[in-house]
Amino acid sequence: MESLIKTTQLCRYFGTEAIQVKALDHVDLEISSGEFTAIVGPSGSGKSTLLNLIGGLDNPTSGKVELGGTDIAKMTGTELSNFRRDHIGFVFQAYNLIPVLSAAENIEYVMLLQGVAATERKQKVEEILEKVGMQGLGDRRPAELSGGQQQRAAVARALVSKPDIILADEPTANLDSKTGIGLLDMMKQLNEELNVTFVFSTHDEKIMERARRLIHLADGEIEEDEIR
Amino acid sequence: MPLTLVLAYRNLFRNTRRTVLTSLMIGCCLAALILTDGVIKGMLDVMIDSVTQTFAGEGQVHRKGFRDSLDTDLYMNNIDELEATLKADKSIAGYSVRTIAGGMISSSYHMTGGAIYGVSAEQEAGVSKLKQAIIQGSYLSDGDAEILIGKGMAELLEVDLGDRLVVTLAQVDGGDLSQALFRVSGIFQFGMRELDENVTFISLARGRELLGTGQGAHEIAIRFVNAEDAEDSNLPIFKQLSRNGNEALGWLEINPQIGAMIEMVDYSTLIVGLVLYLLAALGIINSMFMSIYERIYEFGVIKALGTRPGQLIQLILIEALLLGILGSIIGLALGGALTWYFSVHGIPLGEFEFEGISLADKIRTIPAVNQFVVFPIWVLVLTVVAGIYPAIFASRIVPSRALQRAL
Amino acid sequence: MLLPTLALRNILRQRRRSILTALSMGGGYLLLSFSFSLVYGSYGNLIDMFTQDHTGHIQIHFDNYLKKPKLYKSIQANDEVEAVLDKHAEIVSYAARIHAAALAYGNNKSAPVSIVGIDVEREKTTSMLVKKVKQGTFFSNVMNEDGYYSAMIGYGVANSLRLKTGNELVLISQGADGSIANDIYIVQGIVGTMTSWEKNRVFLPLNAAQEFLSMPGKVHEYSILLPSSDAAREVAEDIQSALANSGLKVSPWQEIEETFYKSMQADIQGNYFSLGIIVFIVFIGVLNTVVMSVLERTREFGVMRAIGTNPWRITLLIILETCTLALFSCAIGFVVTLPLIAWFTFEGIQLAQSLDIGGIPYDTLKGEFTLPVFIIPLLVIVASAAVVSIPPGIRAARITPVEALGSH
Repeated sequence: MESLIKTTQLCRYFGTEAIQVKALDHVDLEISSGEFTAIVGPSGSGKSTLLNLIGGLDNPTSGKVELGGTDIAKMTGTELSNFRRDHIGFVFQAYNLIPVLSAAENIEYVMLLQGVAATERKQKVEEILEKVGMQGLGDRRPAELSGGQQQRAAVARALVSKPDIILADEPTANLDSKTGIGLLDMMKQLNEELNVTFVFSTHDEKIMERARRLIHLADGEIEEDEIR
Repeated sequence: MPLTLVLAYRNLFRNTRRTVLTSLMIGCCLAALILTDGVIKGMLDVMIDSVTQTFAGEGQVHRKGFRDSLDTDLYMNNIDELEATLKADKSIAGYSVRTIAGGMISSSYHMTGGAIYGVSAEQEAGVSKLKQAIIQGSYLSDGDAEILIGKGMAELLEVDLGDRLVVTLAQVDGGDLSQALFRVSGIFQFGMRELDENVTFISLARGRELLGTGQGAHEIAIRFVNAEDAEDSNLPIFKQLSRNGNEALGWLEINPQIGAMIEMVDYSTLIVGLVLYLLAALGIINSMFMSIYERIYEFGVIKALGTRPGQLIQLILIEALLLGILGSIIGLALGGALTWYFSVHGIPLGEFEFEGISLADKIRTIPAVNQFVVFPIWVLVLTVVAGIYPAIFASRIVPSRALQRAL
Repeated sequence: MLLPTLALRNILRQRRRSILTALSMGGGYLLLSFSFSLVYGSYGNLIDMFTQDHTGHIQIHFDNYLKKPKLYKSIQANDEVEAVLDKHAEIVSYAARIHAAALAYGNNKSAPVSIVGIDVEREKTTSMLVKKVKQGTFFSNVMNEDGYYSAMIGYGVANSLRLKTGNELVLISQGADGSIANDIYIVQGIVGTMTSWEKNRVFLPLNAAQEFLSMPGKVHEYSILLPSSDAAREVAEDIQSALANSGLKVSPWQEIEETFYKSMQADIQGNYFSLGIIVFIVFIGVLNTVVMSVLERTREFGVMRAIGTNPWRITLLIILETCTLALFSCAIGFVVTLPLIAWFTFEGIQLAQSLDIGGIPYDTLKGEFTLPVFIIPLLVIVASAAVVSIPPGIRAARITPVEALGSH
């Protein structure tokens, strides 16, 4: 399998020289296309920082992130925006749907950014809502949806741009365990059916059980890389 | 400091940017109002000054009917008596006896119509600014051949100092024409078109002689020790002078258009004030609501802890008041600085002529106590009033819903 | 499009705040539109009054007669000037006049007056004089059987000389040759009121005035009437170029009533300045609202950026939101202003006391009901809204997803 993400000696430090927090310390990591990988570790171990760096939301202190062979550090702001739009999907812990748009419109918004034609957009929104088990709920605003439904819509929004990879930072943390497991099973199903690469972080044992690869982080370093 | 005050103060500075912008808005409103009032006061001052201080005096005595018709036959005969009354009154700073007649003024090549005033040099200097308005030549010295003309008229007649002028006018009580030769002894400029183009001054004795009024005269212009006295139409001195067919009036009655203007100006300050206050109120309400929305969770909590609605209202109103105080400080500083600057440098108004008075570069803002005391008090009242709506809203927050909403 | 939908929904999300902000912008629109209407309406009305009443829209004089009127600065009435005027398509009418100062004498009283010699026929179509004859009739240019010309006098002259129609009036002046001019006229009409322009004027037939002043065939002024005051400058330039090298000066009303014109401009500028301050204050409030709204939505913008929205699109969204709200505000303002302006345009207010602005009596408040009166304030408000929303818009675009998502 070809390598989709490659980080080389990736470091991210916060604070001043005197009080420096090493959120990530010389991380070398490769993730291949089609993986369903969980980044696990206690709070403050650097999970979010790693995902942010991979997604191009944050800049490394040193080291390199390559996505499909491209060094994202070399991109300008707009290039990076477009890169994220076309290659990366995000799912956040707090769902973060645009509150004034309905679930369907939130999904459509991404395609709008990509310049997809209107008729195709509508059709795809329907398809994808069905895939995430949200048929008939597309017209509801985020405030009218439950947490699990909102997160499904968020996954749909991440999925619709046909990204190479979907990064999900603690996607189940705000959900009760039953809903969380349901969401993760759905993500796994999407991974198998559509061959979408998923990388998500969690500290929940029940959730990490479902991953095929587990990367254990502790104090900014990879403690263990376990493939099951 | 009471705890509520501390709480209100800290709340206000949780979002410094918003507090600064809101108080800046209130401050700008106050400053604009202070400046407006200063400009209007300055303008009125120039106008009233032009009317009373320049030439006409603060009060005038005429024969009844003279003001409307300017009929030279309507002259006053009892001048000595009137002068005695005026001299005896302590509130009178000065007066000037004048003869007035319309006539023809001709130079060698040109002629124009105008008003010919016969005045006594000393008396006139105590009432009008004629002496100070001389820009060429010299002021009157009660000489027979002296004539003072305005700059506008000098240009019209193409004459200079020392040139000859012939004045033709009709005598009183019969209308025979009399003509007399004068030499231009001085040229004045009041900056009022009417005066500079149409008026000439000769000695009182010569005026009486040419018109044949004997010891009579048409007008006595009066200056008071306290200028405000003249605004009272029931002043005893006016009553004393208004006998034997004469009438004595203050400048407000002589120039009703100025009175009308003062009224109109008060009205427009009120409108400007209302508009500015309304804008400020909208800004305050908006800002208070934003701050309440941000803290809705907090309000839920403190209400859940048992804070009474009245206490919440009090807190919000104090916050509004503090905002008003802050705005007033900004407004006072800004308004004070602007008023001070324009009171020294004048307002660049361009060429503006109003009621025949050229106001170009003459208007200086006039600071007044009420601008810096009454206006800010109104601002404080306004901010508190504007705070009522958000305060009541905050007091009605239902804790359970507020706590839910914040998630 | 989704962006406008997004903007609209964001406005509706904070309904109370939007309404309060809209009220202040709407108020700003109302003030701007109403002031424009009143200022241009009142001054337009005033300009129409004096141009149609007596000055005309354009005047032709010899040299600088307008600034320094002297008897000798006259125009030889000839076909050349009139041929130029006759040819010009935009000229409604024109009339020649001659001016001089004189002492009028009647019933043992005298008063300084201004003589205006007028072309009896042409004056009727050029100024309002014919409509202002209050007593007697409009005169003719022929002598009566006793060899006297007739005159029309202003109300003020009639009042101070106690003259009635049919009375004799003596005028004394100086002729162009330096001789004493002195003649008797019969009062045939009394014109105007105590406050009108004619108050201290004596009108004579042109030929009689020329004879009186020893200026045969000469005039001081051509007064020209146009369909409206707007084109006066251009037409004046046209005529001026046609009359090049003649020594004649063609002046539009802006130069004829220069003091008034400059005062009017100073007044209008002062008015703009006040309105500018009010708009400034309104938009401090708007800025406050937009800044707060951006701060509140930091997270949202972070997400939008994270899922690939271009920064400029976020700036655009903020601008679009503010401008949309501004448009709504103007619509509200328009609904309120429309009847107000309509009333002032078709009814107006007569001031109890007329004010003198640069020598012209200002006595009517009138509105103007034209497209610019409504459109310009709209543009000002929407443009200000756009300008004010740029800094917070840029700020919103600069929000980085990481810091935004970190801010819970």
